Amino acid sequence: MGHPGIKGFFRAAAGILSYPQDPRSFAQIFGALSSAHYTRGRITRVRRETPDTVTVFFTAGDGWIPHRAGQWARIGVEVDGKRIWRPYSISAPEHGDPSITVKAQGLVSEHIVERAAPGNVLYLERPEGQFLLPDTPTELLFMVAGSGITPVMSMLQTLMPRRPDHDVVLIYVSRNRESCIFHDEILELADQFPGLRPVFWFTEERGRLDASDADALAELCPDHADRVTYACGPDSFVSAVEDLAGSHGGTPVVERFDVTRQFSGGQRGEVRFTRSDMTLEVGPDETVLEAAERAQHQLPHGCRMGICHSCLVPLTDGAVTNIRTGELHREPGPVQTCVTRPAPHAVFDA
Amino acid sequence: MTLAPAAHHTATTAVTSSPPRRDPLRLTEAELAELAAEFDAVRDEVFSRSGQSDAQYIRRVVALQRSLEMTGRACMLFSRHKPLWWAGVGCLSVGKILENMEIGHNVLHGQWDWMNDKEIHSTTWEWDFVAPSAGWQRTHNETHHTWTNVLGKDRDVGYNVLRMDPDQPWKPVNLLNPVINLGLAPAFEWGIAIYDIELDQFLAGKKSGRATFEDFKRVMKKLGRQSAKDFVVSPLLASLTGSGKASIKGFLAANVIRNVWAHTVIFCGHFPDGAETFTEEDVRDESRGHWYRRQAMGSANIDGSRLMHFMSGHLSFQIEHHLFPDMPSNHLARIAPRVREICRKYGIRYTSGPLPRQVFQAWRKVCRLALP
Ligand SMILES: Cc1cc2nc3c(=O)[nH]c(=O)nc-3n(C[C@H](O)[C@H](O)[C@H](O)COP(=O)(O)OP(=O)(O)OC[C@H]3O[C@@H](n4cnc5c(N)ncnc54)[C@H](O)[C@@H]3O)c2cc1C
Ligand code: FES
Repeated sequence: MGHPGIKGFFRAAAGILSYPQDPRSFAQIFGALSSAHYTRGRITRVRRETPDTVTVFFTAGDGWIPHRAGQWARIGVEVDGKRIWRPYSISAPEHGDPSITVKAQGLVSEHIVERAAPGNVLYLERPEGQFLLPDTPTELLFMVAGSGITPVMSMLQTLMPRRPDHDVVLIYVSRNRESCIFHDEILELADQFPGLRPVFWFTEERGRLDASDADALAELCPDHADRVTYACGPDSFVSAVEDLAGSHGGTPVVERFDVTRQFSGGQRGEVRFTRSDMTLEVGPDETVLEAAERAQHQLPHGCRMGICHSCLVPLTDGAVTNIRTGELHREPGPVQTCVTRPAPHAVFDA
Repeated sequence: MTLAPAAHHTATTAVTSSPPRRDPLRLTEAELAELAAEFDAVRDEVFSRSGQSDAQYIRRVVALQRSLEMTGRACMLFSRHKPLWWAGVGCLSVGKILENMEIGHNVLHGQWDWMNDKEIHSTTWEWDFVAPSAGWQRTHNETHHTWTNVLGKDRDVGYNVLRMDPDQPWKPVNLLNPVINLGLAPAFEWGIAIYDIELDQFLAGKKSGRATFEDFKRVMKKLGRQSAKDFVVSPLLASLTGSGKASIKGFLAANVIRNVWAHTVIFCGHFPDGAETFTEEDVRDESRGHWYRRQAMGSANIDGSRLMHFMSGHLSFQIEHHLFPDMPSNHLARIAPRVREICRKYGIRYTSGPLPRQVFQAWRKVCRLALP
């Protein structure tokens, strides 16, 4: 809307009258989607995909940038009056109105699946992430499990119309047909674009797929070792794909939706936040970030999975262990609070 | 003075709910610990309940305030016409009062921080008041709420310019007590802005010259922008319709109405009869129970309608607010009966009275303490 310079001028002029508030705070009364602090989105449509999954379409206000297929964005929703943020992949193709596809499995996702309705407001951060399509055409293999289909759906819908004969195999693991998100859309896409070959694997019928087993995979996709591989889903699944690809020298492009936590042996820990003068006990299965949130102490965070580094907080004393690798870290300096626990005491400058 | 008869008339309703059974200053450590546990339980109950309806409440108040302010400013553009002048002054006065009290004061206390929303958060809010938020948070939240009514520590006891307690040494300048207070009321926001620079602390060598200068600069900058908005830019726009002069008068009226009302409510918080002061000796090694007791004994409530409570930012529940400074204001009325009951049980006087009487008593104190 308009030239940024002109817009800036009008905003500054309006700011003289709205001082000390930002003029956008007043514009909100008329339904504007942006404020001095946030970019917001308004839900336009909600589509049920499976019994526990919905796709939420939204329009985004000023500050949003168009996503690239495969990226995710931090989405803030209000649960019991409190703003909580989680990362969600954008399931819509590039150049369209964005959407997220959410599977109910905890506090925020259940809230979205049960309550999201047209007209509701979502809080948004800009799309980010390196789970992106290759720049040059090659044979591709997508391996996804469960809600891991979401970024891949965006990629397929973006890629196939662009290059209809592109050679793409999708191996998609889900519990059964009913819980398989986008099952029919994928079949339609394959009908339209013969280069796409989807393989559905329902664990209820065929048992677990061991993604690190080369023979099992060869049955589904004989030339899997020659393809550029993408994997998305739970940590255990993604790690299995990585193991197999590693064995023949490949490095797949991956996105993890969760972390498999190292067993802490039931040990409790203690963290201290010096700036807010707060000492907390950290439960055996909790991270520093989660313990702080439980005590209503907000720390910065993004993906909550150890990938984006937006949760860095300076450790000033003590030590932490990484819950994914079990690695001990005792040097003072920034640490990722979303994947660390005190070992057993840690002091943070926060 | 119409205040005196009103005060006399209501003096028959008892100040305390019933005569204290115990002397609150003689409570044992064990009793104080019990008292702390009872107040903590009230707090926990509210904090475990805060949720969607609270968030909706404060957002509605903010939307109401912004609508009033925009309407008020729009009216001022045509304030040459008397009805619009009155409507504008009305909307702006109420808007500014809500912004400063039910919203600003309470947001800056962190009452809404739990929502995790930067749009309504103590770390980001700047209020429509000349005193910058940051300086006020320091003198009010850190000094006044921690050292409530401790002579020599709580600078809010008289704001350095008034003698508000018999234990403060009398100086000849105190003869001007009533005059100063009368002048302070309409200029309250400027008074608070100057007060927050803490010049007295600088002169006493307790605050560095640099910090004082930084605060001074911040106040001047905000004062400049606040004045530019209400007294330069808005009137210039209004002059397009020939309403320039009328709008200056209108903005002045709205600012003064807000200042007088804020001054009135705030003077009823700690200065009516029954609100006690303390010495530094009293608060040495204070436990949570001691702290609660001092907050309850040092504060005074105002009885009145829901509208009055709302317009005072629920500071009319001063006792509850001082016990739980970060409790969302929309809960204070509901917990008041429980707080009153706990106070009664431990013999703590729960000072409360209708507005005219509390105002009268505060002013009576200002006048009486002008003399040695
Ligand atoms: C890059 C990225 C992209 C993502 N994209 C998507 C996406 O497109 N779609 C999608 O649905 N999700 C996606 N996720 C996952 C999403 O961010 C959330 O983690 C997910 O929705 C769960 O959040 P929640 O608040 O609902 O669950 P939380 O309440 O935070 O719980 C997290 C997990 O812990 C489990 N849990 C909760 N409480 C307990 C308990 N008391 N004891 C034991 N376990 C418990 C839950 O079952 C859940 O699996 C993505 C994650 C990342 C990192
Ligand atoms: S939140 Fe992304 S790395 Fe911790």
